Amino acid sequence: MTSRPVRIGIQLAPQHATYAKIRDTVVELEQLGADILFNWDHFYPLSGDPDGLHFESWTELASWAEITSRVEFGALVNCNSYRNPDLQADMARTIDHISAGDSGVGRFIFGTGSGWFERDYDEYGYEFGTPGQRLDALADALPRVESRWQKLNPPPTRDIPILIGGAGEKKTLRIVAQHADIWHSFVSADDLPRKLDILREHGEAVGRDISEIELSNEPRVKDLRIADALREQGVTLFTMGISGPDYPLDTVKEWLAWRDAHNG
Amino acid sequence: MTRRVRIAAQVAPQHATWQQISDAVHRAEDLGVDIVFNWDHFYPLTGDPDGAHFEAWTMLAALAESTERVELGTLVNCTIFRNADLQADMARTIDHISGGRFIFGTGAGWFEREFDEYGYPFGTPGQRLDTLEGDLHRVRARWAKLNPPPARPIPVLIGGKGEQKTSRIVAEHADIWHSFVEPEVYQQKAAVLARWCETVGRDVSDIEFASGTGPRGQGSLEFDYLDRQHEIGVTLFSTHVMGPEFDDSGVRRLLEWRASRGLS
Repeated sequence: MTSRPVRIGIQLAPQHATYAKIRDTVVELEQLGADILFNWDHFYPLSGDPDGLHFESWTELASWAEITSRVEFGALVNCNSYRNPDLQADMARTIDHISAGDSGVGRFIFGTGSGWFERDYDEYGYEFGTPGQRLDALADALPRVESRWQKLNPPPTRDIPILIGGAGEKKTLRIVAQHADIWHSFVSADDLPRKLDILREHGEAVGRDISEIELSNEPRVKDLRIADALREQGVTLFTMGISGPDYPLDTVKEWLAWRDAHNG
Repeated sequence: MTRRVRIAAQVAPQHATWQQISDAVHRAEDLGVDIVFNWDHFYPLTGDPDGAHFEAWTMLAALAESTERVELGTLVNCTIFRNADLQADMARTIDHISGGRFIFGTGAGWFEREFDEYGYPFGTPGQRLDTLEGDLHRVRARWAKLNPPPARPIPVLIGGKGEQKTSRIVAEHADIWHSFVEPEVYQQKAAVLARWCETVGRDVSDIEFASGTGPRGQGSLEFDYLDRQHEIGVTLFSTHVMGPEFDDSGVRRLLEWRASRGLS
């Protein structure tokens, strides 16, 4: 179905760890051979002590641009509500350039979504609204991001890949069909064909060949048989979350070996 | 109290590649400056108005990794461009990345073109200053709540010379007051600041006085001019290092002046 290689993306939750521990883990994961490193864009931990250690996403990603030399990286995902879309584009383009190094080609992935974690909004003074309003805001923001990338001087070093997370059938998948280079979800192998049919319909409606879109998935249970089943449905990017304080890497290593076996 | 004389290089993030900007910052660190600033704009302030330009905060986060000694900050941040709690979180994250070398330089913003192009309401100077004042309370409150807290009490630098609002905001919130005015005017503004400090119950000697030579002909690097600034209480001197050449003769001159006066 696809000639894309299997890729492994590791999401380092920016929580319950010092920055030194996060930095060391980023460097180690690059050495281990991860394809992509993600963080997330929240203001409080999503698991464990709700008031535990936590750091900000975009400044952390700019640091990663400096301390890595090979991996791609980005947020899984950015919350569109928190920053002006033109500013998001400028920050993304700046990190893209910082990460380019000698090759001249950046490594930033713009992973984005509409946001959902109400506590973030309430504490930092953002209007939470409804899921529909936030998705409409995301739909309005993406053309601004793309348009700003066209106008910026210097432009991005490459067509910055857009990753969009979510499986909502009416709005989210329409936005995916219009804008995404990578579609990320937690949909099971059993449910994926139906979601892909819906995505294909949206693609037809907006004139997009959805085979251009890389399929990304995070199996909720870390079982390689589940990954195999998803692989058969066309998924090529597999993500896995790890969290501070320890960022355990045993499962990561198993999945990297599985990837290598697939890619020959 | 007697303060050490400090020298800052403001490396303008314009008319250059990221690599050139980064190199200019590292040269300034090697020359012996105490602080490297950039600025928070979206378009060049001098030269080709559509020339190359990069985003402030992501650059600072990357420089927090690649520099070792200098303090880093914006001269200045525009408070309108990001939610105040988010500013605090970004500042605190860069502070941790840098091991406690971040300076939060902030202001109300003034460059109308970037408000218009990126879709921010420009409003009036008074409205923007009111926003700045409200935001400074939020930034401090957020720093007190964040986990982990900042690695040090992050110094707040406020730029400007307005006597009614800006000076009062400086009296209430600033650790460093920065202005681009000549010594006679600086002295008048300092007297206004001293009165505001009395009004709000602040010891004006707690505030470090900073003065700069700007990209639009402000200030001077003549030794007698610098002597006069120093006599009236200025201890932090900044000058621009402008792309694409990033001529650092101004920084060298400030360092020479400091050494010649035995103030190093």
